[in-house]
Amino acid sequence: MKKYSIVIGMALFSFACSAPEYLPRPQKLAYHVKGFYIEETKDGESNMLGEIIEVNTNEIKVLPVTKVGGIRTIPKSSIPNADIVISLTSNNPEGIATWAGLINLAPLGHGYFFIFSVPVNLAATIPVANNATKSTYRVRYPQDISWDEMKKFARFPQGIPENVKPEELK
Amino acid sequence: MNTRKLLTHFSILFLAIIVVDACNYKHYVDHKFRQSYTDVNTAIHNESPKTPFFKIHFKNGDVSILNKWSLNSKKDSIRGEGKLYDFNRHQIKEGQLSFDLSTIAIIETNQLEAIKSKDNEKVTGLAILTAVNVALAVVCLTNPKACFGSCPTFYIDGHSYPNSASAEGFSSSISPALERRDIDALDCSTSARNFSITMKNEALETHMLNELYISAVPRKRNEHVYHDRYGIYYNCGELYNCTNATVDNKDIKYAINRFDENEYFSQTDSSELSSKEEIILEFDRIPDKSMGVVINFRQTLLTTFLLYSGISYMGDEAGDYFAKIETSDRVKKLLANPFTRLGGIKLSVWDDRSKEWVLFEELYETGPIAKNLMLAPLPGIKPGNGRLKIKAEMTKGLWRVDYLGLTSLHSKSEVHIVYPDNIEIAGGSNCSIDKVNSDDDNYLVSLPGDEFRFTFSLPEIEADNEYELFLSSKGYYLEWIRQQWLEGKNLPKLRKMLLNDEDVWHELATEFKSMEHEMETVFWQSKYSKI
Repeated sequence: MKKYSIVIGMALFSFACSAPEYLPRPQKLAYHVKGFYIEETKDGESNMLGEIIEVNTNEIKVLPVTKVGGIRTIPKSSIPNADIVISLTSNNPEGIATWAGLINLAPLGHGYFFIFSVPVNLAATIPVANNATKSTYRVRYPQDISWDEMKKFARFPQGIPENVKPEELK
Repeated sequence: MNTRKLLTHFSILFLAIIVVDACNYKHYVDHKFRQSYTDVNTAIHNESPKTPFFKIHFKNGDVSILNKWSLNSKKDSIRGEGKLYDFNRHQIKEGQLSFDLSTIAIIETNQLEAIKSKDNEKVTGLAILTAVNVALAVVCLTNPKACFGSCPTFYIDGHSYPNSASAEGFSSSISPALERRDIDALDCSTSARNFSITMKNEALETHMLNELYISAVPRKRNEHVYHDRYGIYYNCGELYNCTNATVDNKDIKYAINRFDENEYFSQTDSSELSSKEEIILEFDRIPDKSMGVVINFRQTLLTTFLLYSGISYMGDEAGDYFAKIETSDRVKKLLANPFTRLGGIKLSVWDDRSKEWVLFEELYETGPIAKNLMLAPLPGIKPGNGRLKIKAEMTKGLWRVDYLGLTSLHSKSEVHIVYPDNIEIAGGSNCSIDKVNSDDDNYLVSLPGDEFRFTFSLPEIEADNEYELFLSSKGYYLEWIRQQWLEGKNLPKLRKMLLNDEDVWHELATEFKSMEHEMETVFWQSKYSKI
């Protein structure tokens, strides 16, 4: 029974992460009504800045994922490289991650092959589950898009309207 | 395939998946999939022939997604079906919408061919891996009697002898895509504050329980409570037994007038499994009230036979087919064909005015283990001179009917939903109730031989009243592929079976006929106990 507990524990641990709720699935993209998210990239590291609210002449306004502190205004010049995150690549990341997790229960019926099949299953299913929950479609700045073109990915491509108070944005 | 070969293929597969999925998490696309226009006329002119819907940004910050759009005759407003959202993207309107062009700031279109789901690649990889795992498991499965298929069975404390399950949960949910909620009358009433029930996995299956709760319905001691197929509960009065019950002029009243172990069932037709029969019921001295048919029934092993036959024809490609159920609505519908062909129990009432039968309900509950006690309220037809005639039309050899009668309907019931406050795993340890107390992605996994005891705290109840208890379970289960099934692989026959080919159905009828007389005995003898 101990070996079963180890497998189940490893499977649950490995597949506990879920896809970010704020990113649309491809099949829902046509109906996505918020701005896309911008992620600053620097020296191979990524820093999620937030939802693009407005891109104006000198600045970009973003709403952080956590919404804490409200809208942030960032000078364009301080962002040399960035990715605009369009959507996940999976329509059903949770379902695929769950299936991948469940496959790891199969070695319970493998008898002596258990020792072999557990690591093989885990090594094969973890990348699939991770890919389903983390893989994204993106547009790369500055290689593939300019600041001016980026306006269309903001919640307000026309700029924040005068009647909307920035502090009320959620 | 020998074991060494199997392991070699497994290794190759493992490497292939690693290479394909080598953490390639960023897929770059051309930004031109989205076009935006500040000039509304240009947008309408450029996009009208090819774009069925627009996203419209308004000057006040609202946004609308509009389908099937068109301009009015003056060409100063746009209308269509869609939704309107405020600046925080909360939906504020839905349906037919119309907007003055002067309020529009930007029109946006999206060409999304380049941004498609990559799930097919993952599903294919997982399907292959599942099939290899199944094949490896088959090497180790040696129990030849393992033909008991059950989905989760639920036992009220003290009732664990064979054929005494109070409920079987989500019997038709044989894959994640077919996950369903199932309501079962527990035939148990109580005024006590605590209640417990044990869930067992008595088959070679993996059970995935998503949500479980008790519906506790208060009733007076002289009342009964039943539920209909829509999950509506009714407080009801006394039962009215029929004065005559016949099938082809043969008296079956003795079998269906009491709740007991005596059931009416027939044998299947030897050449056509969907051949029908009719139970004709006559009632006398029925009061002029709203009435409903009460039926206590379960299935024979015909659907179990068909399910196992189908999986057997899949052979070592069972994993692929079950993967297709997840991703293809067409395959999911095909899989339902055999059960649609057999149909449910159709209930009709005789209308004395129009001199014809009026169909008012069709009941279907999968599963041969626990009986389903259900209610089918009669439509507006009232008894004439205290007399009523009811007809139950059903497939021969598919149903075992324990009780069929009438009851008077008092009122729709008040229902208390009660989630378990403790789950005890057989052996002593506890399990988190979070797994079953909401319909979410958190599941309680049950493997062959597992037992879980759920304890519920019921609300206080008025004196002289008691609760009638119903179990609601939601989840799905996965059959473990048996060695014998792999030998029966026959994909052309599977396709013909699902497409209702008459020759294949004739062969199935002959095959079932040869084992029909002993299936029930073998089934109950092959329950899986402790792992």
